[in-house]
Amino acid sequence: MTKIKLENISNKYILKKVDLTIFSKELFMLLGPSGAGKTTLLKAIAGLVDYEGRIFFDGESIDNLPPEGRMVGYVPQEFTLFPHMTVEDNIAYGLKVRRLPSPTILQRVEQLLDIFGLRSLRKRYPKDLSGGENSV
Amino acid sequence: MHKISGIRSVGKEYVELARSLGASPRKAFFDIVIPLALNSIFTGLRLEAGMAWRTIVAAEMIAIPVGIGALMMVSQYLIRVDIIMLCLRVLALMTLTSEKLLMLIEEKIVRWR
Repeated sequence: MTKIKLENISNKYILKKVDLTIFSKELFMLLGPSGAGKTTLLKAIAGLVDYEGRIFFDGESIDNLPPEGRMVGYVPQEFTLFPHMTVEDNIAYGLKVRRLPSPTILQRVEQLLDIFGLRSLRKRYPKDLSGGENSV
Repeated sequence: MHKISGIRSVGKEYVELARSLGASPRKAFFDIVIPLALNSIFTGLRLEAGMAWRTIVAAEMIAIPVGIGALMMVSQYLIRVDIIMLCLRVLALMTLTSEKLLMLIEEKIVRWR
């Protein structure tokens, strides 16, 4: 079953009529030289850049949906943590903006802190973390 | 200007990250852009506070018959250099106090820096 389908995706500068189909449960890698447009294509899927063409999720067009309505998680290469939030606030932010109930947020944050071994670092700001801790 | 450039200097990537996490443009502005711009905003406020005091004194020297500026003008006519020096010290003290006060507020608010 098709999960994500891109049709004729073009962008002002980089992308030129890209067609792509990614199936459900498929492990998909996008490879290419620097400047080829890999990041731009991912941003287009996430709705973070303007594009022409059509994008479908499970057969439904998402072209008119804003980034927050697409339910796509985009993790950039850099700037992955908000510097003004503590580790636990960074984890909780995505859940808070999606207006999940507070007990659910708290439970999920605790779970993730345990899974990634970050419990002792929960109150620290990104500037106080090592490079490795930051990438976790 | 510092406030505007502060807001502009906030990495676009942070806004994109917030948007992809589900934040609306308004939410991203208040949760991400404003807090991250506070650093530059406070720098601007500190610089502008000193400039504001100097502007007030200059205005008093030219157009307003009261205040430190007017006192300095009168002292100039009376050749009272001691009063002029005292006025300059008061001006420096006021500028320094405003800057320190803003620095204290900044330290309280921008804890993540």
